Amino acid sequence: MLTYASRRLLLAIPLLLVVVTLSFFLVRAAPSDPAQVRLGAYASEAAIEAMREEMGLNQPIWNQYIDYMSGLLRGDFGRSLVNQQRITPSLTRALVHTLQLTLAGMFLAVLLGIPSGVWTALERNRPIDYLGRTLSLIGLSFPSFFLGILLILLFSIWLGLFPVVGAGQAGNLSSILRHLFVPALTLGLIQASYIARVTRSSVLNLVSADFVRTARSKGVRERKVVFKHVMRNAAISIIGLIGLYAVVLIGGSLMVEIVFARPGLGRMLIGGLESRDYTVLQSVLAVYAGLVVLFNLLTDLVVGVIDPRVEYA
Amino acid sequence: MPDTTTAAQQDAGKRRNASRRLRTFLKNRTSIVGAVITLLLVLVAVFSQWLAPHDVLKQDVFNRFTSPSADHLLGTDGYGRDVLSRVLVGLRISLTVGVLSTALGLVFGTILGTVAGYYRGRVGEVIMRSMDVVMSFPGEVLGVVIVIALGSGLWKITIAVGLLLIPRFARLAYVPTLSIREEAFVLSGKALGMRDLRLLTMHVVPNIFSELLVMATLWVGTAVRLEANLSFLGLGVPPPTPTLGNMVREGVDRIAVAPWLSLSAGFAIMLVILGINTLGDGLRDVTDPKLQV
Repeated sequence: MLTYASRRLLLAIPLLLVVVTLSFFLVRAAPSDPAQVRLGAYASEAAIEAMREEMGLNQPIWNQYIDYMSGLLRGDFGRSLVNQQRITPSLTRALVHTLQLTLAGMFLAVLLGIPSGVWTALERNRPIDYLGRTLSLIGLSFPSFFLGILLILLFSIWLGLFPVVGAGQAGNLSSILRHLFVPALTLGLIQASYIARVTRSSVLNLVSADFVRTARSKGVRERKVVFKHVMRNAAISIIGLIGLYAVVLIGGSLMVEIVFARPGLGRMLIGGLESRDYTVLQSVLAVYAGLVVLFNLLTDLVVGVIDPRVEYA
Repeated sequence: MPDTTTAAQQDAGKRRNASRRLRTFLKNRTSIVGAVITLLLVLVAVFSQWLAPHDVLKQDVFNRFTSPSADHLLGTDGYGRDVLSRVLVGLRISLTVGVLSTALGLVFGTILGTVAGYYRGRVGEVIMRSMDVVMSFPGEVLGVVIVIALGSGLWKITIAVGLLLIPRFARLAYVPTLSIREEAFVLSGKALGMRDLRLLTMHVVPNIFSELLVMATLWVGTAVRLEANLSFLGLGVPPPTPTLGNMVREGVDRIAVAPWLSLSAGFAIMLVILGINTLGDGLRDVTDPKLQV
């Protein structure tokens, strides 16, 4: 098991390297110049040139790249081009907020999605099934920012139950949770629609399988058939697919953070874009891609744990 | 199919198959609902210029944020512009970007996927691994960066969303190509000395294209969502052109006093995606016999 985990981890490293490199060059492909953005439209040629020199943008791109990569190996994302602050601390703070949101969203999604997927599969072609399928289709079709706005209207403006913006006071757990609930629900409801669909179809594929029929004809109780025979097998494909949808979850978190003004990676990305802060941008991009790789890795490992057929060697 | 079947028999078989598919599609009530919603929205979008009751750009400072009334069915926005007219025109822009960017993704994704599947080896590996890299960024995140690099505007947004869809289509094209390249008709073509390009365009692509086209309708919904996300972030087609995402964004600040602004544009986006997703679901049931019961 341990060798399987470390092998999987080793395989993720080249992908991460490529992703970090791509982020570095992609950001620099943008047409406008950070020095120009910082000094404004009326700055003189000479002032912009001096600012470029100060920002280190006149160095050959390969030098900048090597500096960046060697910093990364030491866990240092460098300094912001705009305010010269170290990026690593603010990136860590933003990452914490984004992780809180995505993990809470994922938790709600699994909590809502898996039971409703199983239920609709077992009640196939009955009213519950139609209702569940319609709801999940609607959930799939909601842009996350719009669902967020609807939930703000409902919970914060009409019912006055939860605060609208921000992430709560640091260190105050109840404040953090109160600020987290509506954004996490936004993400969770959308993600739950995906999970309910894949759960329903994987359970449906299994309820007609031979070994399930055998179990039933042996007289195994229905509850046991569902939980032991069907669910254990369905869990594997469901978890794998949840990993695939991590991209949707993390992309949705960007939108939700903007709607709810949460100080996460999404806000850092947009802020960095406005000031063309290359170093902040490349770091945020790398962390986003790293998150996707991490989620995929985690789901692979969970599948490895629960499915003895996965090759560890 | 056995060697003795004639071309006429094969044609008849194909026709039977097509009519069976059509019947399956018509029996599926959900897909009918999806088709009707989508068709209506497309018609509305095409004729939006004539359907819009007011000029989308005409400002009226005395009627800002008026609530829905007989004259302005969905109220007015912060410049006194008619929201209904702007939603209708915004719908056209959303659908235009959605369809064109999907087409872009389909064409380039198919090229990359079939080339990777046909040649396999190092070429295939390089192509498909780079697709993996692109897909390890969430669409919204990468979309933001691409738009910044390209700049905004209708065509640039279309290209940005299209670029995001290329890896999806490349994967869809790659897998069936792997098995088609081993089929007798490809191998015999090769034995006859056909060139790779000709084999790809005459034998490989036609065999997978219909399935890809069906999948493409599903991705139009995603394309519309990505465009809406980008324009909600203020990176879409620039104002004063109405886009649905932009209208939701303009309404957010006034959500407590003038909720119709965000709500009407938001529901329009949702309805488009819902219609396309429902239709796509029906189409997939028809084309994927494994899912039928």
